[in-house]
Amino acid sequence: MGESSALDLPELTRTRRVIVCCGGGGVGKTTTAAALGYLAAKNGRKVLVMTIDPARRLAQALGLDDLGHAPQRIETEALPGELHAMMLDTKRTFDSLIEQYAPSDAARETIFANRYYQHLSNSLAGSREFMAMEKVYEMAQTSTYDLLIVDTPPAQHALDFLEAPERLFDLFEGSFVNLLLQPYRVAGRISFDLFRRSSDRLLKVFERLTGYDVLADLSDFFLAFAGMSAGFKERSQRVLSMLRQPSTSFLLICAPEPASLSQVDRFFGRLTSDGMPIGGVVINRVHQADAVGDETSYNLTDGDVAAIKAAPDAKLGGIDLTHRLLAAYRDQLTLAALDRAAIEATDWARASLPVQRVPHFDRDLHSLVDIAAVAACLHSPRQSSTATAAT
Amino acid sequence: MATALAAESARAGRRTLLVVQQQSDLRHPQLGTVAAYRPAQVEPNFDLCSVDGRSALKEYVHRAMTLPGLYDWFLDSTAFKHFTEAAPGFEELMCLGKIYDLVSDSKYDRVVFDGPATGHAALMLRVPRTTGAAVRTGPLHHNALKIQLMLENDVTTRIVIVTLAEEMAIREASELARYVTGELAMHLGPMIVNRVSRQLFDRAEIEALRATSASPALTRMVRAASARFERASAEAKYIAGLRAERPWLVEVPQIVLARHDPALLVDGIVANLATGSPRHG
Repeated sequence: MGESSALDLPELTRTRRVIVCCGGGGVGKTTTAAALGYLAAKNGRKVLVMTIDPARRLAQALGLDDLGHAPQRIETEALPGELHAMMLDTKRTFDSLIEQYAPSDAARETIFANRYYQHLSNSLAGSREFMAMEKVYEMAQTSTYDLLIVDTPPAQHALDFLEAPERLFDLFEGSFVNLLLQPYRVAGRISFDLFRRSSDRLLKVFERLTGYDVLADLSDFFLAFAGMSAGFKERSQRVLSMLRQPSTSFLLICAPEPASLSQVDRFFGRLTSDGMPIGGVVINRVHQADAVGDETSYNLTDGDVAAIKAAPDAKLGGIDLTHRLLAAYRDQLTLAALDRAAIEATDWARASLPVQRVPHFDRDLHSLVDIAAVAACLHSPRQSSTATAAT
Repeated sequence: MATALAAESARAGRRTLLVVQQQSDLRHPQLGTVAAYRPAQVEPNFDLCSVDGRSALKEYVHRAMTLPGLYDWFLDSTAFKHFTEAAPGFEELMCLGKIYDLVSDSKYDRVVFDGPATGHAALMLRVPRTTGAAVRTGPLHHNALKIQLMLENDVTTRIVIVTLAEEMAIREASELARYVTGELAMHLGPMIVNRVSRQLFDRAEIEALRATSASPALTRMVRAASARFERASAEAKYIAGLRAERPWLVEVPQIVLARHDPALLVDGIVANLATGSPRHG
């Protein structure tokens, strides 16, 4: 990679309405989202950080025992603005959408009573992602918060949360579901039975794979949703349109490892082709060589040697202190060199993708003080790294 | 870690299959080969494959139906594609169904499945139970039940939870372990703590070094040593807490290589697994 431009995160948190943090698992998305929230609140904004991670990482990152579906204010005197956080409850969001779009009370009650809905509304493929975007849209329509920061679930194959609404509508509007609904539209379950006997080949195959009851129950499920499909779709299009606005920025979060960095390349391609505004890349946990020097600094003075000899030597592992000192130092330099090499192998400079490197912390980050320390690294693009690398 | 577990098993002479879920056009990050649906050998005794719901269903239909080719039009249809992409738990159930088949196949002594991250692993492992409850009769119900029994079978299946030695990660791993053994009634293998920093110093040494008035070179070294000491001390505390709860625990040290070499890294982990896991059988 040539020299990428610096990512101005303070500017993004001052000017944007929505920031979406995306990336693979274990790259520090949640910590970054919380730190961005802190940074925005420090700049006087009223910000809401939302997560849909079932593992409660955001709560832990903010030093809380738990987070609920209702936004919770993070109490801190140090911030001129306000920092709020919430963990999305997929089913409750789904329920409120149905409340809103059900064509009648009867239709609403039918859906809530449906066994598939009760069991599976939480695990319907893409429902978490879809509901997250839905919640962002809902919040963006109010003036309660100046900035919304979304911590998306880990994505493996693509940007699942962008594809989720499309998949859901493909399902609701697809010919397979229409086929299931066709007999019902004529005369309900009895007709379904007759239709099935008279037999469409496609239904026959599916029935043999799953069983008759499954087919009939699925028909009930989709029939209940049939009247709401148009409303859902329109809403989803408005969500996508909001995400394409210049007031939104997508941040690609990664670790300085080849697999994680190439994943960012794929995400970048996908977001670009979808016309989504990309703010830049945040590379977390970068080992810093300049925090400890370089290999030319191995030469110890006579005074250094004397100082080491004067120290108590526990000879851990049967190795004397000097050698262990050198080993720790060498490991640090090697990790920094590996990170640098992996980052330099990317091609982001050519794509003019602004990059922010966040140093590796030698302690765990699980309190507001820690989040403030990460936010400090995001605050000053160029000098961020060295100051707080080792703590 | 899944790759290392599979490699260790294969090198111990067991016919082993590593199952991953990844895009079919991507190379496996550690093995460097493209993982296809059909298992292919990557080392002696060591096969690799990638499973996805649609391919698994297609294979199932081909086995279950007479004149299976007749149904390809159905399986390849856009309507069915839309259904499988959005149907609740479909992908997970089909993948687990394929794993059931692979486990039942006498071709392999051990099947290692590289599962999803902590929070999502819990959702995936719950799918057979959820499906079984939502669908009360029929082939789907029976298949879900069959898979659930396999996952709950102490002899067949062990869930190996891998974590880093960080407070948050260990807390999640611990919660997952409780969920797996409690609500899901499944059985754990060893808990693996990966990338553990080896402690190189004791406190007296570090305090003495910190008090030293030294050259810039030694100052930098002491800073690196100090960071290492603090990190390793914190990790030791987290691991001790986890070990009190889960005694069957294997620590794999952080392996620092001079260059990115995934294969060498796997070899290093395998070497540590072999020495660090007395009950790994």
